[in-house]
Amino acid sequence: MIEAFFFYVFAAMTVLAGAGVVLARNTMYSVMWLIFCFFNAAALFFMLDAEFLGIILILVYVGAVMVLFMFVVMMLEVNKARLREGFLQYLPTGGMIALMLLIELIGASSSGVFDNEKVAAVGHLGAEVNNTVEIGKVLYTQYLLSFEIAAVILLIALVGAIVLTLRSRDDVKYQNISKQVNVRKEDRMKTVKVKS
Amino acid sequence: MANITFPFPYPEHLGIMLPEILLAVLAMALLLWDLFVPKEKKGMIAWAAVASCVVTLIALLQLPAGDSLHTFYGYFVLDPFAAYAKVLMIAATVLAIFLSLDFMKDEQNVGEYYCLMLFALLGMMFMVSATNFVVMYLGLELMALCVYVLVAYQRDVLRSSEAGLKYFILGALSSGMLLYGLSFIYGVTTDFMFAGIGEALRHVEDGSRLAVLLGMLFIIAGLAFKVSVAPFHMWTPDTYEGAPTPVTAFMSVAPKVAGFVVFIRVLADAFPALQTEYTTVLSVLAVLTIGIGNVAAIAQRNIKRMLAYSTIGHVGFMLLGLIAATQEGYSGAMVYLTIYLFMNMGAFAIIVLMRRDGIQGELLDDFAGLARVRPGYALAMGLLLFSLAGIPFLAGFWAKFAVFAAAIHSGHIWLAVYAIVFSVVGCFYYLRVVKYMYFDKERVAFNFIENPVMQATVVVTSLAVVIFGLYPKPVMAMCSAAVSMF
Amino acid sequence: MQDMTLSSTELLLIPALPLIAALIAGLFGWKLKESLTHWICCVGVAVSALLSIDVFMQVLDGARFYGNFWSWVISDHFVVPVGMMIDPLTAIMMLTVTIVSACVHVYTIGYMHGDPGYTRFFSYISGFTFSMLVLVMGNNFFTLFFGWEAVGLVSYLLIGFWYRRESANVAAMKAFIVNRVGDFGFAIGILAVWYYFGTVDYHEVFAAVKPFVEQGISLHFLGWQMDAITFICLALFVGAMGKSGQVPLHVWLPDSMEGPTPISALIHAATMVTAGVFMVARLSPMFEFSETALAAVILVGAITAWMCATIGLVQNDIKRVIAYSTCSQLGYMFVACGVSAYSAGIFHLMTHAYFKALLFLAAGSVIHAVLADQDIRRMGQLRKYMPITYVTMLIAALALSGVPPFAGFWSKDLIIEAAMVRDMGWVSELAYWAVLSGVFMTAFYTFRMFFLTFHNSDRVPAATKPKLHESPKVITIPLIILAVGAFGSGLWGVYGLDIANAEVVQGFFGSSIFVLDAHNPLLKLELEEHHSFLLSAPFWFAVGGIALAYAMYFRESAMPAKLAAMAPPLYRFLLNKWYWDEMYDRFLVRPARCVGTMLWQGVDLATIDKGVIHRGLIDQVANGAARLRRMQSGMVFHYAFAMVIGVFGLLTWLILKA
Repeated sequence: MIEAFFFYVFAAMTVLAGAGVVLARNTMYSVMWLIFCFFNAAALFFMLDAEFLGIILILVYVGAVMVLFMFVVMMLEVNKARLREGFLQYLPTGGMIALMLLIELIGASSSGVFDNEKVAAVGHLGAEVNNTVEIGKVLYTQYLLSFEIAAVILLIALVGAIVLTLRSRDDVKYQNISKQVNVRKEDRMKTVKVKS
Repeated sequence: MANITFPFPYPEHLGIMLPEILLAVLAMALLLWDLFVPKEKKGMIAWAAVASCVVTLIALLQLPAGDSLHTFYGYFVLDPFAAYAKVLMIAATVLAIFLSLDFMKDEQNVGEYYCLMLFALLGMMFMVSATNFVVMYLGLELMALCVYVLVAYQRDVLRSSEAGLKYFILGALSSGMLLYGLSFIYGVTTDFMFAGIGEALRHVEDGSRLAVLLGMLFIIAGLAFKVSVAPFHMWTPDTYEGAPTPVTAFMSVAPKVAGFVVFIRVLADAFPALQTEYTTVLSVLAVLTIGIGNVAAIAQRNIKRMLAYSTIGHVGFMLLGLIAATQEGYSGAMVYLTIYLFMNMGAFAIIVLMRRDGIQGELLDDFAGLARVRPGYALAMGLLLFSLAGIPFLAGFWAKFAVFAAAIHSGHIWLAVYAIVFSVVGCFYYLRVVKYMYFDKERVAFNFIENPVMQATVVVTSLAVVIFGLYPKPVMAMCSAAVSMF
Repeated sequence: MQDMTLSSTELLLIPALPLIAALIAGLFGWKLKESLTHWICCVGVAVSALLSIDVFMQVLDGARFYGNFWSWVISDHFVVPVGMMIDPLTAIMMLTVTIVSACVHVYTIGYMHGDPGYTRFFSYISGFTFSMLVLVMGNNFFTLFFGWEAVGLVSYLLIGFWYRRESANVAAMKAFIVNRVGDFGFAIGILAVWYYFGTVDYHEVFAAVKPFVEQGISLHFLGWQMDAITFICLALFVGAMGKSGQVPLHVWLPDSMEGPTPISALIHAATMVTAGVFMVARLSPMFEFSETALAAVILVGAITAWMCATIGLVQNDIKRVIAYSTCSQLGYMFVACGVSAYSAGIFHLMTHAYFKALLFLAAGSVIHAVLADQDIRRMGQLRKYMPITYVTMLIAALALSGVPPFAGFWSKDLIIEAAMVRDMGWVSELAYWAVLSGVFMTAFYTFRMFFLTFHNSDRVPAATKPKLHESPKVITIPLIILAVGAFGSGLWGVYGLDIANAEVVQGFFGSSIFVLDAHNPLLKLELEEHHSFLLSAPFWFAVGGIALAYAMYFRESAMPAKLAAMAPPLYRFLLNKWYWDEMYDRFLVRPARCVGTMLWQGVDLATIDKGVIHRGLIDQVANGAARLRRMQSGMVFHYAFAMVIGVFGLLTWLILKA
């Protein structure tokens, strides 16, 4: 009973935080809402005995990704007013559709998924079950291929980020020390015979 | 899976993944080697990339592709269908590399460019070999990520980065949709494997029907985005226009092959129980796609945008094969993809060859009078365009014939009639280019790239279009062999 | 004796040589020297002619050939083989075609000299020879059809050879379109053969005809019933009518005289136009089983023979006179086929080929001399200037008129007698009188033309007169060769080849022509006593015609004008060719144009271009395209919104349906 209560509390706060991300006027606030959202999601993981995932969510997303996000947002100086242009114009249609879609989604979700006994039957794990070990067991066997592909995806993300940002620009003046050190007399000096 | 002991068992039949393994290793090696190649010799990297593709192809061809083999605990399959699709994608990648040869002369980060293409290929190869949603999704993301970067490659060109960003945002949205649908399906069936889902959905009770339909719909939407099916097509014209032309050529063909193969696998393996429902959904999508693709192309002045809409139109025709949901239909879609590969690559090759002042021949007006200046190019372009329009006896005709016949045989006569009517509308914008080439005076000074490899690409593709047109039997036979297990 | 077969290499070479020559002349002619081109073509066709003579000799000894070389089309159980069937009927056609063709090739060197399209012309005529050989040598309906269409195409190209001349283009199109009408019937006939017999091979079809007829299969179409075999034969015969210029599809043949004269000789007199006759004879095993079809053949042939002869009486263009005579003579051949005297028909075909080609080439020689003027009213007394042409043309004219012992007499006499004894009620009766009176008219118009050209008074314009001359040797030698044929081929046919043998199987044709005994008119002739030619009516009719022409035209006289003035409507009626062209124009061409204009103005312009609804389909599409382009705003959230709406719409629809 108390479990259900906490579930609904965290779930409601997750949704609320999600709405906050979208609706906040200041981008900074959006980021903060997102962090809050992640915390709640992590709490939901904990309630499912998935400690590992909960911790990872907090460590990686909140600890690393969101901090980076914040830096980016602060550097970009997004214009608040312009972002809202046309909001009211689209609100009626957009809102209507969103509302109806929401009803449909709720209808679909409540129709059968949670009645399924297989899902409902999953109880709490025993104390002897180590979350990390269990994940490791499937991750390096059954899901090995997926794991490897994910690794390649990370590599690509890295390469992509570098490709899109790093390049040698010709229009910027900078010091090339090795070039300076290696310069020779012949490079700079030219002996010209002047007719007298 | 609880009883697995360490060290974990060696996956059986790992050999059938040899092409993918080789490709991954070679691509990474390429990435490293690039650092040691001096700037004026960067051209070699392209050839190394081609060599990697060739090695992969050889590794693929020596595998026994006759029956379906599984590895990685059944998460990876090699069957004739996957093998054929891989051959097509490798061919598309090689052609795209050829088209990039000149473009990359003035660009930086040459190694990364080709490397990204190879990794995109890798992702697609995983996609077509996936037997479950996890591997499929990861392959899809690998491919998509590479393509996002490739699209935005010309960082200084505004529309290139704009195109990349748009594609990225919408792609993320579509991935979200795909995953959302997936979670519903998993919720009902507690399975990721296509076959397992298909089996579970046969016995699903009425209560969860709505959830299943919703899940399926979102999955279809996610996949439809990748193959630019209306109304999930909106990114296509902007992205095609903004991306560097060789990348446009690449992404107009290879991801479509992968997308359709996955589409076919998902529909045929995971959702056979919902055939009536998905047929209706796909019919609506096909009607929209065919209509929008063929009509909107008429209003375009930019040839890349026009070809983007043309792609959408062709995708609509290919959908007919999926709607038919028979072996003939799947085979028809594969025939279409095969022929479409050559037609589109050829057309883009000519556009790339017409590059001037840093931008490739972009506007339709640029083609005016081409026949007088370069009759050979004009002839090739004319053949390719006629083929795209589906004029017999060029290859494009047989492509359309294959899917239309399949649609008619499976009872979708009105859909086929609709498609035929719009393929007639579609003739207009293809033939307009021919008119520009042959009947108008030149308006701009032509400045062609003289690159024998690219010229050879033009020759090969247009010859292929003619030869397949006159003798379509081998292609048809190969494709029906590829889909024989459905 | 029947076991002997011909060498297939030799047979393949016969059509292949002209084809190769045609390709060389056509593709590389613009680079090669003119003399080299004509040498290639002439040698190709000449060798082909020699080989044909050789084949003919072997066939006389009893050699035959029947076989397929390869398959052209294989589609399920529908196979189109490429094969040959060589028997006496084929052999005599090959002989005629190649010899006349070779003569025309040589003649062309002189006639077309200096024309800008010289090599093109050679390419066409060699190509024509190839097509015609395929037509006669094939062993199935599809090779027949291939040759049929190929000669039609070449004919079109050659009539419009001087493509800068509007009248030539019009005539070419007319020929093509009229032939299309015939070919439509022909194609339906072939398809019907395939439908009913399941094969297009001659041997297989012929073997199946008898059991097929005995089954009595008939065809129902719109409540109208017909024997299947009759339907097939009539449909095929429509094709023959088109190709061989029979009423009412004869109108293209006189107009085709717009082409250069060698072509008139080769195609529109000697060979192509006889394809219809050849086809009927070749398919005699089918036509024999349909009395209705035979009656139709007779009727059409007789009407054409008579009508075209009447038109020929008053024409003033030298080539048109001969052209109408061709139509008329083809009518004779069809009458022969219709009364089941196929051998007589083919015999006349052969003799006609020689003397008509000669007539045309001689006329060409005359035209060449008077600087391309074709009006006989501006000729006269030409015998002084061109003696060889004069003599050869006289031979041809005598042969055409049917004066013994020239070729035409033997074949025409046979036809007329066959028509007389064959009893098919009023049809054969009418045919007999038509062909008999035709003889008189033939003789008259031939000699009218001949006298006006070579005798009578000298009416050549003063400007041309100094340039009158006999034609060069390349022109006169073919004339002499053909004159030999025009003189001797009749005698040779009767006494050398025994074509007239009533028992066809024992005569020259052997089993290549099939005649039911009950039909065979020649058998009845045999029963009656063989009378001398002096007693035959045709002979006296011919002599009468020549005599009348002599009286009216040998010297200048006022008689023709008086005669014309006696019945002006009749004269005009004949001069205007029975108003056939005007009738077609009124009842077919103009209504067709009306419908076309209506569709163009009413449907195309009004609905699609300008539009009754809104502003027409074109604008609708353009508007739609523009609207779609506006939807493509470039805004990411618009695109995302479209995706969401898409999912939403589909989901709602699915839920409502479920």
